[in-house]
Amino acid sequence: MKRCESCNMYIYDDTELCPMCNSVLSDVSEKDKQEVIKKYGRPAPYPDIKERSRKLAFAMKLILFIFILAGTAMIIVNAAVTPQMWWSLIAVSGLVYIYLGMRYWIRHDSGISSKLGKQILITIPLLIIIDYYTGFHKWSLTWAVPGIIILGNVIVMFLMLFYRDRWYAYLMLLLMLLVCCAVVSALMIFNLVTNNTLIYVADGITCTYLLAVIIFFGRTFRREMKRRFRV
Amino acid sequence: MADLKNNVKAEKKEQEKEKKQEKKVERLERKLWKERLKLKQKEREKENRKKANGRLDWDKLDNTANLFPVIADETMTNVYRIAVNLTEEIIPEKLEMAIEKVLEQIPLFRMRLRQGAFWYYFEENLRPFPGIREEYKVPGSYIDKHNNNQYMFRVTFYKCRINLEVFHALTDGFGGTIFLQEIIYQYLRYVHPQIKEETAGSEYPEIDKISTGIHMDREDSYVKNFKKPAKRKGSYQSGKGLVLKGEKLAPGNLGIMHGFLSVAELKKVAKEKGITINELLVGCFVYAVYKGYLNGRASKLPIRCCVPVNLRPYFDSTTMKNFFAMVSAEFKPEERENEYSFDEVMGIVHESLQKQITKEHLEEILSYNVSNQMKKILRIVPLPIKKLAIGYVYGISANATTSTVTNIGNIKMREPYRKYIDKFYVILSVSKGQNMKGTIVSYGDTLTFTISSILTDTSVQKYFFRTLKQLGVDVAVETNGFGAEE
Repeated sequence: MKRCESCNMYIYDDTELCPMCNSVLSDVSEKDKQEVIKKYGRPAPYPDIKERSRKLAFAMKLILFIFILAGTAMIIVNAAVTPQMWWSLIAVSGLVYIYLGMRYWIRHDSGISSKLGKQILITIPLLIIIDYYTGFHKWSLTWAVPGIIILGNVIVMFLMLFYRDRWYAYLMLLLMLLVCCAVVSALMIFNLVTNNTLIYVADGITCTYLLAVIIFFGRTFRREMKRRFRV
Repeated sequence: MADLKNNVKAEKKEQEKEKKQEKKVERLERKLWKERLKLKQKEREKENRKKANGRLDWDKLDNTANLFPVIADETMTNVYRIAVNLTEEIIPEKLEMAIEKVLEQIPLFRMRLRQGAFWYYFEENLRPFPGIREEYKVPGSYIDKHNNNQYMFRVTFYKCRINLEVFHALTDGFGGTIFLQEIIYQYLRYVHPQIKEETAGSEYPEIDKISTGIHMDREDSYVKNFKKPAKRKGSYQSGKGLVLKGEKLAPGNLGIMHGFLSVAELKKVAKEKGITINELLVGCFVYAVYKGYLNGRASKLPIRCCVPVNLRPYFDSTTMKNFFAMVSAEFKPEERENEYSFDEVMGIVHESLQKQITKEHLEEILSYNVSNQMKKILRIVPLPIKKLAIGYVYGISANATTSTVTNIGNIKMREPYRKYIDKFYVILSVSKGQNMKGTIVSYGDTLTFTISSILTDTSVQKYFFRTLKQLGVDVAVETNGFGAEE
């Protein structure tokens, strides 16, 4: 403990300078120290929290740096070699998608259900965009998107089995997949799909899964829906 | 002579060896204890899950709490700390046992945050409490719920101090104080079993249970006391306020300065001026901003200091959830020949607060705040869109306030425990537009005024404590080391 003669106060910190006015502190006798402690209480110092080596933050910065270099290199090569087809923009979109996805998964404070759901919602338009800019052969809506929906169903099933005690936490993800099925099925009307098979398979799996949940776990399903959709 | 020296050396070596051996045994015992606790927690978790089977307790967020999950991130954590300094070093194992015991009995703190389609809500958290650690982060750091077993509070310790950090969506200072008090009581009963023995035959024996008289009420008092607001000329939205700017500490750091004051001395000064202690300290803070930041100059923007008011006494509520309203002490230094004196500033602040802290006015603020939540058309807006809207409105209003000074009041502890308790602290994390905040808490005759700041300049703190000193209130100061030397 020391004393600042400028501020006319006792300073508990183990320091040479006053934290308020930066003047040099004077020493305090043991008697004065005990009197101050008796009046205001004991010192309660703080630990010396040094800057931890942020390995993860460094890794993300390194990845960003590599991605920027790679993206720039691809654009330059594309411009020099095949300027008639801008394939590099697709590759750069992919790099941006991967980087943002990684950032979100690592940094964002949300559960796995939310992260998976958002990942699926970002992936679907990305695939459609790639399809569109590569001649729009409709492979995204015919094969890729239904494939992702089926994969999503498998993941949800796995999560519900693995986390049996809180399986209902993944119901929203299942509902989201149902909505995706409905949207893709609706696009069949506009002839945006060349082959309906996989879409029917995806619809069938999702609807059957949801039906089984509602029939066998109706009470829990209703309870969860009441909480999630409370207005 | 040489033999004697050698003998002494050999003895010292033996003693050091023994000490090392003892420490090793202690470490192993602690490790074993932790393993046993983990196993116990896992077994309890399994039992809880079998019992629950989807029938978990759940609850809505109160009106104020709806804001915090939307705006909270690592730069604006919305986490506050209530800490207690005891008279002896903390024993981590006993502290963890005490927290486990208290957590079983206070369901509010056993909740986790879930996201619905239209609103956030709380659900019972069956995961084991993640345990305590020695203080390793800056006060008021972000609570990453997914790395904290979904709990919205954190307990750390350092030397003689226990820190409880709570995410504001869960509860305000009232609820946080009750939780910490119960942890302290239980911890001290474990560390000093004689407390139970000595009170065993008395009328109110101390037992391993939370205190009688604690209300486990979890009502949303905002909604309960809502009255449809009368049509008002103008809105409650304030214009822009002065924002304290300047060079900031390194990202993630927070400068803490505690000032210890005597309640008796403050009472004397406040009585002489015909004001309350709270008004005196808020007025002093506003004056310190005027002198320390503005250097006594005029300002186009007013110094606006938010003062949260505990609404429980006004509405006869005992809820553990958030229940407070914000009033603002405002002072706009006009262009004039002489600087404003402390008494002039104090007078303006006193008048400003007196006008606002009445039941009628608080009722109006409450009803205005809740009215948006009650509009059916807004209630059916999906949560992702609500989040964008809330974030946007908050962003605009963030520049309306200079700072916040909150007072959680006088903390009283029961007699058998008082001799083990030194003092309490409260720390608020900073928020958008408010780079500096003040908190007040008192225990016994010691009032601790804490200023938390991300600015390197400590002029405001200097003027604040010096002004109090000039008024006749002695001050002692303690910091966390992020002061002028940083």
